[in-house]
Parts: sequence; C-alpha cells; structure tokens
Amino acid sequence: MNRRRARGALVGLVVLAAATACATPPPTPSPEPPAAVLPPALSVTQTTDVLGDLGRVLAAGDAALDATLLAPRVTGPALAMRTAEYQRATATAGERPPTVLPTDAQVSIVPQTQTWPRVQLVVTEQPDDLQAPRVLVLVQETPRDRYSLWGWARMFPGVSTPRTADPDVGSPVLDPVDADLAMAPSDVLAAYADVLALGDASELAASFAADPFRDSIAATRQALATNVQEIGSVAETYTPTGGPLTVIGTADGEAIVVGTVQTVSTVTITLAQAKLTLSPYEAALTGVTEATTALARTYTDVLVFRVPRAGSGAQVQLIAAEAVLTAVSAQ
Amino acid sequence: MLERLIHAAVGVVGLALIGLAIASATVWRADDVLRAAGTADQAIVVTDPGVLEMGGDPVTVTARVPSGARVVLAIGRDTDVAGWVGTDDHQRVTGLAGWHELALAAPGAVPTTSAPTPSVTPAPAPDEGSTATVPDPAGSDMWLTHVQGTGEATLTWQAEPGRWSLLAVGVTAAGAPAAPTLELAWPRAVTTPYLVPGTVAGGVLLLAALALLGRDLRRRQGVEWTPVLTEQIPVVGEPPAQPLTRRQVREMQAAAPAARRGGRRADEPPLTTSELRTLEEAAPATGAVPLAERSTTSVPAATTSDAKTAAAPVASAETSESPEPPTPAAWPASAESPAFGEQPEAGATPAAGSPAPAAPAREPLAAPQPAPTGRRALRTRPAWAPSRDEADEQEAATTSSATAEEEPAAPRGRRSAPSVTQASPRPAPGETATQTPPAEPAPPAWAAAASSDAVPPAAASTAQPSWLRRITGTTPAPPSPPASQPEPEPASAGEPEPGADERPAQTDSSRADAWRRAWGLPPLEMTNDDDGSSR
Repeated sequence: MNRRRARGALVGLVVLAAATACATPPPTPSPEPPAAVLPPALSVTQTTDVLGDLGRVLAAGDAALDATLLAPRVTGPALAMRTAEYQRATATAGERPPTVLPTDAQVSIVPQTQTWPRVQLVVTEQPDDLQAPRVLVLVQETPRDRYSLWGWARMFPGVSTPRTADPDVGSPVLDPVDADLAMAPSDVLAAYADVLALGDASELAASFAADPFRDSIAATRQALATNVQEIGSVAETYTPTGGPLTVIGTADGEAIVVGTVQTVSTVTITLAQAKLTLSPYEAALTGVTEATTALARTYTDVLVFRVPRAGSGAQVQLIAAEAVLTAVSAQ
Repeated sequence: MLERLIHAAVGVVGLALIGLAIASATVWRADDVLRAAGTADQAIVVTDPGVLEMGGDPVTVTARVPSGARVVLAIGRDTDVAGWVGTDDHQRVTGLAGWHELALAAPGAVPTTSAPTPSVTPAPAPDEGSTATVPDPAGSDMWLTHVQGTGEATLTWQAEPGRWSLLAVGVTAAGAPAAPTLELAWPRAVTTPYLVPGTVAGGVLLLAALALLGRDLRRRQGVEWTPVLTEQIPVVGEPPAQPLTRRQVREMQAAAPAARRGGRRADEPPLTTSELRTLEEAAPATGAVPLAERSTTSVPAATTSDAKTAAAPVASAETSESPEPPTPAAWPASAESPAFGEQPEAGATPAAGSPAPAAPAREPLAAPQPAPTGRRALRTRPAWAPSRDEADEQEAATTSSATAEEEPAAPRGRRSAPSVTQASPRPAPGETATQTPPAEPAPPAWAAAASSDAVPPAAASTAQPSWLRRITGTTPAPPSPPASQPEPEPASAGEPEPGADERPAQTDSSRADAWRRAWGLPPLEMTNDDDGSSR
C-alpha cells in the first residue's frame, strides 16, 4: 500500500516536472501596433540609394543620349522631357546638352503614406555650373515599381525651400481638396493656367505671387508674336495635365503641390507663300524642317507650388518650374 | 518498516527532483538557437509582423528552394510587403506551430494588415497574378535589405522599431513558382530556472532522507545493543541484589542503629548521622537500600540514587565513590563498611540468629584465631590483597591513621569503581578470580562459611593464617595492636565498645569493601566486624 502510494507520488512528480519543463510555450509574435503616424515611405538611406541609382541611370542615358537607357528610373513627363533633350542635344551636336540633374539630395521630402503612387520630392544641391537647384519628383506608381524620376524643376532664385519635416519622420500627404489651404490644391493648376493665359487680367491673378516662370512665358509669347506678326498669329493654350500629382504638407502647415501644365504654342501662318524654318531641334522632333501653314509647339511644364494656409493672406507661390519643348508639329 | 519506506521514498523523490532539475538544464535545456522551419505550398511566403522578432534579436532567415531555382529574401514594412504581394497567391507565416515548426496560414490567405492596399493592388494583381510567372521582388526600393541566391539564401535581420515582414519568393529558372522552405533561427538566452531550486530542494529531501535513514539504522543498532547490556546487567545485579537485599536490609537496619550509637559519632562527621537517618528511613523499602543508605550516609546526594538503584553492593559502591571524594575518610567507612557488614552478617545471621550482627560474627573469629589479629584475621580474607590488609591493619591500629590512609585506598576504589559500574562482576574476577564468583553466587557460599562458624572457622583459620602471617610480617607495627586485640575483643563483646571500634573499622573496611565490591569480591570487613563483634 505504502509502496504503491509512494510509486504513484513519484510518477505524479515526474509527470508534473516534465509537464512544467515542457510547459514553456513557444514564443508568439508580438508586433508593434500599427503606428498612429504613418512611417515615411522611404528611409534616408533608401532615398539615397534611389537617387544614386537614378544618377547612374541618368549618367548612362546622358552619355549615350539614349532615352531607352532611362527606362528603369525615368518615367512620365521626365522621360518625355529627357528624350526631347537628348534629341535636342543630338540635333545641335551637343551645343545644347540635356539639363544637368544633380542627384545629391539637399532636402528630401518623404511622404508618410502606405498607398500608391507615392511621390517623393528631392531638392538637389546646386549643379557645378551654379545653376539653380533642381527639384526632383520621384514617383512609385505601384508597389512593384521602382521609384522613378517623374519630373524636375528649377528652383527660382530668391525662393526659399519650404520648411519640411525631417525625412526620417516624413511629411504628410494632404488631401487635394484640403480646406485648410488658401487654395484647394486641385484648383491650383487650373487657376495658374488661367493666370498664364490671361495674365493680370485673370481673376485669379491676385492669388498668385509673381514668379519668373510666368514672366518668361509672357515674354516668350510676346516675342514670338512680334516675330511672326507679319505672317500670322500666335495662340497659346495652357492645360493642366490632370490634377496635382501630389500634395505634401510642410512643417508650417502649408502645402507643396506638384503638377504639370501643357503649354501649346501655335503659330498660324496667314501669309501666303510664307513659311517658317524649324530649328534643328524642332526639326528633329517633327522630322520636317519647314512649316507652311501652322507650327504647334508643345511644352511640358513641371510646376511646383507652395500653397499657404487658409486665412494667412499669403499668395500661392510657384517655387520651381521647368518647361521643355517635347513635341512639335509642323504643317 | 513503514517509516523506513517513507524515508526511502523521500530520498528517491529528492534524487528524482535533482535528476529532473539537472535534466531541465541539460537534456531538456532549450537550444541555444531556436530554429523553426516550414515548407510553403506557394512561391511567395510572407511573415506577419512580429514573427521575425518573436524568437530573439538577430533573426537569421534561410530559404531553400529546389536546386536550380532562385530564391529572394526581402524585408520591408509590413504594408510595403503586403502591397507588393497584392492579391497574388501567397502564404503567411503567422507564428510558431511548435518549438521547431512555423505556422503557415492557408495558401492564398490575404493578410488583413493593410487596408489601403486594395486601392492600389488591384492594378498589379491582374497584370501578373493570373500568369504562371512569379514577380521578382529584387530591385524594389522598399526593402530594407534583401538577398537572393540560387537554391539557398540567408539573411540576417537586426530588430528595428516598426512592423516588418519578410518576403520570400522562389522562382525557377523558367520563371515558374518554386515553393521555398523557410527556416528562422534566433539566438536564445536560455535560462534554467529549475536547475537551482530543483537541485536544492532535491538535495534537501535527499539529505533529510539520509539523515532519517541514518537515524533509523542507528536506532536499530542501538536496539540490538541494549538487550546485550540488559542481559549482562541482570546477571550481575540480580544475584547479589536478591540474596543480599533482604537479609541485608534486616541486618543493616538492625546494625544501623548500633552503628549510630557506637562508631559514627566518633569517626564520622555529624553529617553522616543525620544523613543516615534520612537514608534509613527511605531505605527500608528495598533490600539493597540499607547498603545504599550507609553509603549515602557519607554523601546525601548519593542516597537517592542508591536507594533507587536497588542494585547490589556494586551500585552502592559506585555511588558512594563518586560522592565520596569530598570526604575520603567518611566515604570508605560509611559506604563500604555497611556493605561488608551486610554480607558477612547475612552469612552470620543465619547461624547466630539475627540479633546484633556484630556479636555472632565476632565469636567465631575470636575462637579460631586467638590473639594475633582478632579483627584483621577476620577482616582480611586469605585471598585478599595485601594492600587491603595493610589498610585494614592500619585502620585498626589507629582510626585516625586509617582515615589518613584511606585516601590512598579511596583512589583505588574510585579507579575500580568505574570498571565496576560498567560491568561489576568482571573487573573483580581479574584480581580475585576465586572470590569473584563468590561475590555474586558466593554470598551464599561465603555466607555459609561465615555462618557456619563451627566448620568454616577451620577453613577460615587455615586461610587466615597465611594471610595473618603476611600481615604480621609486613606490618610489624600493627602486630602490636593485634596483640591488644584480645583485649578489645572482650570489649567488643560488650557491644558498645566494639561498636565504636567497629565503626572505625567499618570506615576503613568499608572502603576496602567498596573496592572489593567494585571488583565483585565478597566483602571482608563485614566478616571482620561481624566476626570481631560476634566472635
């Protein structure tokens, strides 16, 4: 009896000990809760990697003046612009080389987002020729796409870069129809196009601060009109290409709005026997050298606006822009 | 038996506990590296956020695919990975199914982590999802780190704040899906929480069991030993106790008063008398008591012990010895003299009847042995050691000197005493082999000799002469007193004087008697005293 009891107790003890020894459950995943503030889409190092790769791609393309080499990292308007520039460079025998695009980031404006497409802005260092810093617009269209150069713009002289959040934190991506801004980002491009077309006559002219780009557009248009006034007329249209590509909030509560406007400058030749001789660049784009009835030149404009907060009384400021002749049609 | 079983069981439990504790730290010790593997059914495998970090800090991910295929490992934000995977068929690693097995969610299960992805993912999904080809995650800008290899790829990931997922994609050379086998390995800070407490507790149990068992064994041995002792003891104690006690009691009781009257006062300090009374009062109950009483008379403390221990003379001798040291003179006299007195009396009483012990004893002695040494002849046994005799002689000569001499005698008694106490009978045999038997059984024999004065006297005389000769030869001085003995004897015949004489004699002789008893010898002095008195 006693022995049986002892044996039973012993067995029980062994089982208990074995059970406790094996009782430790395997670890279970305990992930952090999803962050209340979304993380930046790319880390600084990732951005650097992307820019480095972009620089290599651009260098390869620039060296060969072959736009096909740009495919991995250049897309959208930038690809068209760069392709045209390559054609221009080729047509001019290198007299007008493609725009220098530094890829060293001075400021990275990284979006806080988990959706696609993702747009990241990079303010580069000044090029070696002390031209204005470029604003590079990098876009990841889909999760399986790489970040590609969507467009670039030159910073205007005297325009300070908006204060933006640290790239480690990321900048918020704002709703294009944000009421907290002086002007809805979705309306900025159209309004600016109207201002471009009408100049000071536009109702919205007061909403935009003066900028070199608008002045240059007007001057170019005026010059062109003067040049062709004997043989025809000039008409220019400014059309926003879709809505804004992205709206990124700054540290000051302002917004950076990036978009493109297509400028079509059309020269209609009304004088009989009159004809326009195309520049080699234009000729390269069209394949013809002369225009007898009409010449349409299409510019792709990449515009970067700074939209102030609502009620601040400040005007929408165009801080960077780049216009590249990307298409010509001659008849 | 049952107790011992329980103790043994406790020990076994302790051992088992120690074993388990050690095993928990060795055999059952968790691996230093926790490895968990799982083979997917799909080409795309994604780990849920937290899986990478669940086992330890740096996780080493190894993905294997059938030879020839290519495998890509990438780690990115869970939303990025989820966005990249989109709606393509894939499997999720949700955790551990066991210590070494990854839990893979059902193929094609869409993670619920990213709500926003649907808005975008639909686009890529139709592009590549339907096709048999597998997209290549390599080259995406979203991965914090990624590795690719043919057949196998290994990637180590240090934990970072945030939610991270692993993406593993296996692609054959032809672009067809190749299900990867994923293995995650974490270094483990292995703890052995059961080792120390288990070992300590087990050790305590084991020690306790050992102690208990040891006690059992000791107890068992003790039990075996005790009966041996008890066997011996009764043999030693009983014979003297029984025969001696009753007679002695009577005799001693009878003798005691006489002793008080006569000698006590003279030789012994006042203490003894008072003590004697008290002792006597207590004593009567047991036969041995009288002896004890007398012995105790010298020292009060001994009385109780003596009284209690009804043991024969031996006991009394022992007890008397220990207390006596303070008063050497008193001790031998009081303690032993009675003892001797008893035995001889016992012998004498039957013959003489039981009046005053002294009277009967003396007569025979006086008769056989004339002048030379009335008392001494009687006192000293033929076999007795010369020392004893000398002591007696001296004592007899002068009580004062006797007391002085007693001291040397006392030590003997003390020395012998310890041996006596342990085994009273044995030590005796050494010296007086012939007499020792008498000591126990002898009392009767001896008593008979003593009692039947008529016959024994001859024997006694025969024995005595030799002894006497010795004595006389050895101690010239004493002889003179012996010469005077005849005178004392008549005096002794008159009880009062002899009593007085006896007392001193007893004191001296009592020492010797105690010593003898210690050695298991029959008391001589009693005979002397008795003889002296009786004869």
